[in-house]
Amino acid sequence: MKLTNTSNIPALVLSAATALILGACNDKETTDASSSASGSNALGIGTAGGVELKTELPKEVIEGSPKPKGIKNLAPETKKFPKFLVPEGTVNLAQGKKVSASDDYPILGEPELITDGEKETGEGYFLELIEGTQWVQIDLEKSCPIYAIVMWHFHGQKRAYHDIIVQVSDDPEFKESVTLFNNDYDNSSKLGKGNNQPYIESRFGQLVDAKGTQARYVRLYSNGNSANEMNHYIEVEVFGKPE
Amino acid sequence: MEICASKVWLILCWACVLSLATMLRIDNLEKRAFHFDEATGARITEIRVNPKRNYYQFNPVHNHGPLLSSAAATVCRIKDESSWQRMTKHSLRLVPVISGMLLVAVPFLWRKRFGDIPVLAAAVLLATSPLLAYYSRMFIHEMMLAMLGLLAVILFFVRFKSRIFKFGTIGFVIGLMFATKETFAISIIAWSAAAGIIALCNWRASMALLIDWKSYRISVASFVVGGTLSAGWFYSDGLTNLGGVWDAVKTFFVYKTTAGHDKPFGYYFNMMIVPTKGGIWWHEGFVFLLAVVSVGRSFLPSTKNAILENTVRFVAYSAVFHLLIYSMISYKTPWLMCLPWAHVCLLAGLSVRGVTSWKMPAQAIAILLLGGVIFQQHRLAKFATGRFETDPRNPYAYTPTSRNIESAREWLAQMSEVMPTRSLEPIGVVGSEYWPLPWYLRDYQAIGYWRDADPAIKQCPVVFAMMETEDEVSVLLKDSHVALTRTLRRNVPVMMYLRKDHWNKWMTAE
Repeated sequence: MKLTNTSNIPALVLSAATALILGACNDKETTDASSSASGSNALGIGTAGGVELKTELPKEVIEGSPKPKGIKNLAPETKKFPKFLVPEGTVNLAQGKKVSASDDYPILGEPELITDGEKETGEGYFLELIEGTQWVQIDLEKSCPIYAIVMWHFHGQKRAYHDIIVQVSDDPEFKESVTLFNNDYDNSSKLGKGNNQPYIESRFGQLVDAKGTQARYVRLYSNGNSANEMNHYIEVEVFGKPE
Repeated sequence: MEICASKVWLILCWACVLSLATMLRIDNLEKRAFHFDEATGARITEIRVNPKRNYYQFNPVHNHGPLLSSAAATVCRIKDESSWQRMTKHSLRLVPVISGMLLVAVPFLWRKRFGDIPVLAAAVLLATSPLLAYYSRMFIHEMMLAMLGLLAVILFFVRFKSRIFKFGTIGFVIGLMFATKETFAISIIAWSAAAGIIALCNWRASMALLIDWKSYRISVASFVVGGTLSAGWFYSDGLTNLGGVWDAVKTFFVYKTTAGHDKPFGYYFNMMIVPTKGGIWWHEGFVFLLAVVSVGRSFLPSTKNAILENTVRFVAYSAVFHLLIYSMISYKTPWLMCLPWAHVCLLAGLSVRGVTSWKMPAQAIAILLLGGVIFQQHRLAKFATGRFETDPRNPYAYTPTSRNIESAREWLAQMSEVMPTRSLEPIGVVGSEYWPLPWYLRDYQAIGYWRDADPAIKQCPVVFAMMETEDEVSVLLKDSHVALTRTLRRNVPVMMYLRKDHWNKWMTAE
């Protein structure tokens, strides 16, 4: 590999531009969206008076896991599965349900792996979709109130997935939908800006508050990750009350 | 009438092969994000085309030869992309695309020696090789070197009316190889070793040549003159900087490779020949097997044309020596296999030499086998340049740049639109090994580069911090900026910091 001599450009800050910027710094902002950018994945307690949401967690992967490359945890690191209340009688509606994906020819795995209840990280447990913005969609077969969604992309390595968007809808085409989670802050997936935080994958997954939204279909988007360009899904659980 | 029909068929076949090669090389050429080496090559090209800079000097420590940037500069000028901001991936990548196309066409020069079908077979194997197709789409020196290298080999065995002209032409081509990349010396060593073995095996003829050495003096002189002219012209930047010629020699002693590319001896053999499962089966082993058949045939007692068989053996020995030398060097990258593998493809095509004189069942089997190999290669090449273009399991996708950093440029442009009164400049980049980031920040003039975290970065609305500096940078910017994770290259995240007032404005904008 070669570096041009331009790679050693001395530190240069143009004073005129600096003055301009410093001037711009003084502009007053009425909305502090940055606060939402630095803690916006925080969950409420869920449904008041409900029961604690329980799910089976996969093992911590140590052997064979690539060495973490020091990505900073932007959302607070998940040390345990969060305490979150859901109405009594809430079950995983996604278990064994039909899954479709934007990539007709997944590189690894089948869409059905996402709802098979297995949450390990090895080959044969996850679905791998091609680069770019891709989605998986779960058909719950009936429109039901949804209280929580828990997703595991890939927890065999410390990595952050880009542009994660979770939507629910009664329309399989998602022409109208409710967005429950969106950390695509730069709108690179062209589905609207989101202010949820990027987070590092862990065996605890990512719990999303679905707020009892009524829907039949659940769609999850992603756009590559900090380790490579691909999109991975191990498991998605959709907790709601069957109607 | 029959001759005319066969010519039409021949033209059609070559048109098909070249069309196939074009499709594999040009389709979605701009899609893959710009590689680290492509971006540095673009910067060198920009120095050539930008009339404001008005200088170019070959850097023997860090740069490969000047031919690639010279050719790319011509394309950029034609397309009116004479500034860093206006340059495009497509224009720059056209240079390796054209080189890759010429590489496919080069075996045509051997049609009189080996016949139409073997050279067509060689051409289609060169066209569909996943390795060669992949690197024909990357703005680096390898495809140009591979094309010139194979051309030099083929010219050596082509009959010219004038021997002086022939050697002058070959010298000129080898001079262009030198002007492309200093590793041309490895090819010279490999070809010399291959020629040495052929000479030893044919010692009577070799002795006769030695005795007659005086009649080759002018040819050798024309070879040297041809090489000096072409290499000298480019290294001296059209004779405007004669010091460049000395730098060209000096580069063999002072050139610095970057760390992190050391690999085991068997890396290239495994990459090309041993099938590995990763999404699909990756290997070009069938072409290697055809090449082995080709060499094996040259040793059969029934072979009559010694010159033809020695030509085949020369190509085979050259391929083996290239592979050996590159394998012995610990610094390894997949693209270094382009020229050696071009030898193998040529050899594989020649495995069907004399096919027109074979009996029907043998002909049918040969054509079916060849068709199968071409089908498998084409499928793999489509995957390598398409779905798996940046996939970690694609052995040719070496430290690819993430599309995530490519989208950062679009985002910065959108932010500029949303907040036209606020400048995003100066932009700070902290750390090392940050290429190809400058390519994606080329819309901006005021960019500061720091090795380590410096308090001055607080003045920058946008800061990119490489991971080795991230701890210090995060302390400096924790109150003033929002931290965002981006990915620069595979397994190389980069933190992007956006000043809070800009972030707030962006997030609240419609």
